[in-house]
Amino acid sequence: MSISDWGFYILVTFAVILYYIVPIKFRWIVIFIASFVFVINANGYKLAIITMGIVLWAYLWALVIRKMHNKRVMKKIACCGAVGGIVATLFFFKEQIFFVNIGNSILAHVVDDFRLKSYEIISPLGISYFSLTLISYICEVYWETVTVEKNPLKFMAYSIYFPAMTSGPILKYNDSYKEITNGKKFDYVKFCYGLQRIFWGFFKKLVISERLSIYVSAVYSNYIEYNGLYILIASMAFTLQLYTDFSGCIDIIMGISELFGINLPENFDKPFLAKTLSEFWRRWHITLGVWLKEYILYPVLKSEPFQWIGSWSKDKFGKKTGKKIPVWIALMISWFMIGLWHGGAYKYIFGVGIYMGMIIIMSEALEPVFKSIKKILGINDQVFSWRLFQIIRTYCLFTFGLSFFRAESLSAGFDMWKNMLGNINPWIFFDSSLETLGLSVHDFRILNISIFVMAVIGLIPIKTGKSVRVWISEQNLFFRWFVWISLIISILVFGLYGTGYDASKFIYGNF
Amino acid sequence: MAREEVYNKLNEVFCDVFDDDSIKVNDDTTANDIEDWDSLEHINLIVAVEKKFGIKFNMGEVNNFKNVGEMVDTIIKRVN
Repeated sequence: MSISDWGFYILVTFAVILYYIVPIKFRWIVIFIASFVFVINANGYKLAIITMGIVLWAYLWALVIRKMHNKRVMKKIACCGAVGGIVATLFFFKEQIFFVNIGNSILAHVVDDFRLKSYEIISPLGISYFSLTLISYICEVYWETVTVEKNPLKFMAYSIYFPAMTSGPILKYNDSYKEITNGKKFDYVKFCYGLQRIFWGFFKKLVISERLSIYVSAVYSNYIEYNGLYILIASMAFTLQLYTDFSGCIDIIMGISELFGINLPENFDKPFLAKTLSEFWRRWHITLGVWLKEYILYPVLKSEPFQWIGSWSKDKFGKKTGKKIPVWIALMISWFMIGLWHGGAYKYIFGVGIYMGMIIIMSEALEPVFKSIKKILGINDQVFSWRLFQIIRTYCLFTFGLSFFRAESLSAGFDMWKNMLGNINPWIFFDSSLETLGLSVHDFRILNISIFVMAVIGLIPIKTGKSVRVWISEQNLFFRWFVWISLIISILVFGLYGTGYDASKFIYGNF
Repeated sequence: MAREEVYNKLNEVFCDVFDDDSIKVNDDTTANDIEDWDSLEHINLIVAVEKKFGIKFNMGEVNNFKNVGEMVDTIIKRVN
């Protein structure tokens, strides 16, 4: 069972009905049972036991850490042990093959007859998400910023909360624990908003993302024939595909949560309006960025070795540049981790890791140079055209890194860009070449119109300062119904479904 | 240490870290009020404050300060 199966929505329907039937005090139990059923169904018994085991591990260690309130050293050891256990499990399931292969290629130069063993295993669904949620909880318990949960079942309901198991968002205890475990009263408006957001998520996924995927796959699977500008367009389309896929999935997750009256933290905030790459990442997969900042970047920067590097570099390079050097090193560590989190493969480590870090650091380091170039060329950076340039530039910089995410491997990614630069074919814009890439003319038009609709809808909150759903709810009855019925009809008529009318899998569901 | 004294010392730290002598912080000052105070500069500031007052913040505090007032509350708790 996954978020793209019918079975999942049957579970949601039963859970919602039951949730509002039972007294408020016991509503968290419905969440727990639904999550439990989901974990067993999605994983099978063996992996479900591992999932529960990891949660129980975090629950018990939190109690131990709290008991050591006055024993600083012991408390630190307990915290490291607890986090270490979760990291080791995550590492075993997600990164083990990658690192064993690296180890073996090093060993091949040293000894002939000894090789490390790797295991082809399926990992528990959502392990990359709930592991981070649990590490966050343990750290907060260690820092004494949260109260420890004593009820194991309540803690389980929060940790394996089933909508968030599929693609996040990554939760923070202080923000989401009470939301999930305090029973919520039925709120008609919120319930309707929830349904609306679910439909919007499906529109993004089934009408836009699935069409873009046909287009993108046609080029990525045959980039020798489709070279030059085809590759540039397919890469730009993949950025949009991933956005509509991932943010569509998050819309569905948030919408389902709203059916229960639960608010989760947002994962996207209009990323394509970002003017720099670092701003882009503050608006894209927000909960992962915040997690990395609070649990990796800040503790690393505040550690003794980094303080030492800071003092050394200030002496060596002066105050202004010197204080940036430890920050840049810590940023590279964080970006490496983001790459690795996406999967044990060089293409992720480079494309959505080191490359992004390098661009962000370079744009900061070279800022004085850019400023003087702007001055020499007499560029006014307070006008619309400059902001537009910044937005397009950011989209292109992000797209270049992300193209490796979609490529078969790191070297295939570089080959693609070589093929792009190797052939100049601007005429594809003027003949019908772009219309024949796996999509019919009819689908091509639907795709363009729906992207246009999405862009226009995206402008509503910017122009009115209200959320789209609030804005629509303020319109007249006829218009409101026209909007929602059109949305549902377009999903039913124009949606591209997988086998048995299940939606196709979500890209971020694999992590 | 009195609140006023903490503020005097703290203001020096802010001026030094952000290279701007015109900065005047108060209880309600947040990162939005000081141009260079972004998420990366935040740690430089925290470390400079720790050094000035000879105290240590834990990471939970570092992540959760909502404004300068909350930082001052914690400093007073530690130094007194």
